[in-house]
Amino acid sequence: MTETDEDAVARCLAGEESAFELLFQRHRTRALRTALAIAGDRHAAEDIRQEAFLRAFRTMSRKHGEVRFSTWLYQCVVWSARTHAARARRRPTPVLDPGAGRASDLDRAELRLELVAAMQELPLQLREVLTLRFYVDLPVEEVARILRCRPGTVKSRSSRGLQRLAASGRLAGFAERSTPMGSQHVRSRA
Amino acid sequence: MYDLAPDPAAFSALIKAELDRVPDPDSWARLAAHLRVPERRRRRRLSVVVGLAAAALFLAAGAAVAAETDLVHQFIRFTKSHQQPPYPATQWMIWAMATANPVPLARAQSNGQFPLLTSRTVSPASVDQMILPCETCPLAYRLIYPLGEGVTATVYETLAPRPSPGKSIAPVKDPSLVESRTVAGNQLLIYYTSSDHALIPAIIWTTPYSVTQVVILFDRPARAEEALAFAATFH
Repeated sequence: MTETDEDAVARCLAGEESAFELLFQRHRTRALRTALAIAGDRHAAEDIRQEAFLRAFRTMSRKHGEVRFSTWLYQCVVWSARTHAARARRRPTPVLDPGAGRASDLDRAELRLELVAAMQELPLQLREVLTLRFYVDLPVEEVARILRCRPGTVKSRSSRGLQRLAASGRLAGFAERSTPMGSQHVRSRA
Repeated sequence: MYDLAPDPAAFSALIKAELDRVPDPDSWARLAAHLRVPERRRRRRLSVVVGLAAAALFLAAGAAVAAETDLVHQFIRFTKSHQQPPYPATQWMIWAMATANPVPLARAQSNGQFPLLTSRTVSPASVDQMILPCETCPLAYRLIYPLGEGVTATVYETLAPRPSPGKSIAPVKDPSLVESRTVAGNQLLIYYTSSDHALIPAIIWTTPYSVTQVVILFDRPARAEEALAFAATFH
């Protein structure tokens, strides 16, 4: 029988190091990809995941029984991503050769992460909502709890994020390749 | 003008398909190097708390403020004689127990745990990393700024201990001498020496999302407007 997160957290609080590793192995991949979707940079995403797990582990005694471990972990991912974004704003990386592009752009090109790249043109708060709702598949109420806002705010940000993605024109290729992105809801703007 | 709205289900499928191709090599070893098991941590925490409590009892006089953090209990102590010169140094007592190691400012700013805030207008005369006698004590830096009229501000910065700004710090004596004020998203706790709020011995704040905790201690209480203006220069 698979051990639940809550049982693993209880073992963590009892000092069993193997339980920390179990929780990490269970959530590491999704946490990394969530961080990547929000931050848009592979190396930053690994740092964000590292910080998020450390924060979640260090504070789990206070959160045990209050929220699910995964909810708390994603909240830590969001906080760490915001911290990282704030650091990046404060200390922008100097671009030595503007034509060469950054390593993160190369990473995205190799993996063909066009959608993740397109999301980076959105404000951070819209990326957070789109990622938690549509990649992690969390319900609106849980996203609201993580982001500490009202469910209505989550809904409006989701809608605004999708609208802006469509309006950016960066999704045209997806519309041709797969499901009809951008073709389902056509409305007139006065 | 027409606006195209993507289908949420289609977007969800596409973002999952794209992200699920991102490889994820096992990095447990990297995380485990930074991980400490709570049981051991609790024992260390207890020893630090007991040590600090003993120090607090030994030094107790005047008004004291206790702040519970994730790792240790921190005490800040002001003495009654703040109200009249000569002003004794205000102590952020936990750091009084620490060893100071000089470090370059650039190295402190790239510490990898929290953004170090610095004054936009005054350069620090010295930057020290504070080493406390416990493994789980947070990374912290001390920056000393010479201000006008012989006043020196000692600024301690560390990773904020809790996710809720300001909640961890509560005055235990005479709440009228502590003011909580939100400035640009930062929740400031401003300490006064008297009820007329003319002099400030210390300002403590936590940046949004509880990233950095900053403690400014003036070696002698500064005039309120000057102290707040100095705090406002941090970014």
